[in-house]
Amino acid sequence: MSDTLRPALAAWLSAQEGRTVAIDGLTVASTGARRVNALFEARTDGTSQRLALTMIPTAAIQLLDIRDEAGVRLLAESAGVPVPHVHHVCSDEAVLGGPFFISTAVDGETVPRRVLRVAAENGVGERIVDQLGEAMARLHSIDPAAAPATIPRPEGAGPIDTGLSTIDGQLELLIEPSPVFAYAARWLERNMPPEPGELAIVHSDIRNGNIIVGDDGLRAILDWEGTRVGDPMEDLAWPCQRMWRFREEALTVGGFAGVDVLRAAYERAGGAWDKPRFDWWRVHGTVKWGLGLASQARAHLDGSFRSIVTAASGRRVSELEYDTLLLLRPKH
Amino acid sequence: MQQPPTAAELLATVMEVLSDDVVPALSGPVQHNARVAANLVAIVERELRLGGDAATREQAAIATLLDEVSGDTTNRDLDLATLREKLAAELRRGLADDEVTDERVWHALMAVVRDDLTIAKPGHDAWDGD
Repeated sequence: MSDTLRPALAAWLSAQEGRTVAIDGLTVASTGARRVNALFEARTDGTSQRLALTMIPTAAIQLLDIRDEAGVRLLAESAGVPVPHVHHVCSDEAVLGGPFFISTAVDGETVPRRVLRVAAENGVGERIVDQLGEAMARLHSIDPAAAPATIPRPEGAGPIDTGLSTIDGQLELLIEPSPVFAYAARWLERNMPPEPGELAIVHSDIRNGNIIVGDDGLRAILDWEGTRVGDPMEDLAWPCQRMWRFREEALTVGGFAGVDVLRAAYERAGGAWDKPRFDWWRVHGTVKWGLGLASQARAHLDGSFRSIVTAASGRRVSELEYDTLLLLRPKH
Repeated sequence: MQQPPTAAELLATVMEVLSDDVVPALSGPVQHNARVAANLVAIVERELRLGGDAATREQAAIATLLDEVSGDTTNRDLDLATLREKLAAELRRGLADDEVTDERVWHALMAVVRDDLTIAKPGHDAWDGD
């Protein structure tokens, strides 16, 4: 792939910058269903810069227009959230085969188990959670009116109401019904907290696996394609799910540290914590991910994304059913 | 009838070859896929051995639960897929809204999920919550 990518990318970058840009060491770092990530060295007039290419295989699967995702990243960066700086955006699929943007390459680890090892070896687990709490408070301090117009906004009465409708919609799509998730949907309906007083721009997938970590702690938050306007507590609950701890069960936030660290950092940076909504989003997130795994299995079966990994997702649903039941009756 | 090994014994062998020989010989995304394949073979091997009994237990548990909660006695005759569909629909509509039924339903669902995990992810239920 890099054989055809390299000349096309070099030509496009040269045209953008109005000078000759040569590309060295292009390596595809990961190829997923939704994203292709590659790293390279851009050389101009004796200077060299390490950059990252993020490409969506085809515009048809974009959750968010690539220009708006780039816009959100720049907005978050200006609010002090650690985000790799976006240098260029291109929505023309003809250039590389899909929409893409180019950002600064940030050194560090992203693979969850290795991230946990880096955190443990350098004693920076608490620091990472502290930095995540502060980053979320800064993101949530942005006026949602500043977000690009195409960013999804809550329907109905608000984000809680929208969150419940999303779950019911996913339940309808199941090939085999899940009594556990139906039971949990009823719980979500009967335990709906009041809608948040203020909405915020939420990333919706901040967790171990979407962050770059180094020996000094958190370096960047990645994968902004799920950004929308919603309840800030949804962002805080998400990294606390058991599935993002990668076997470090005792450390609630991503296997790094406890919720108290996250809360203290969030509040210190000006965020307002709401326990009922936090608890509600924890159940919601667990059910949502369980139903998401079932939908990956459907994508495998209907041929829209055939892969052994999405096939295996179908046999992971019961893990999330178990985690859901424990959240609903913690002291059974 | 086939001579031994049984289907489950053959899958156990395939799993050994995948994890001991194939996975170490590979790297990158292909290695990851091979690892997932080994895990899936292990799951199917357990499912062949344990799935039948688990389904029988689940059918009986849901039929008993629906009989007791609804006062109906026809649930025993329903197959598992129909029972799961019926239970899911009833639960979404509020079958377990009162505390006594809720506790009963929670324990019944937990027993089913633990059986599923014995096949799909042994050890996942060792964790007892935050």
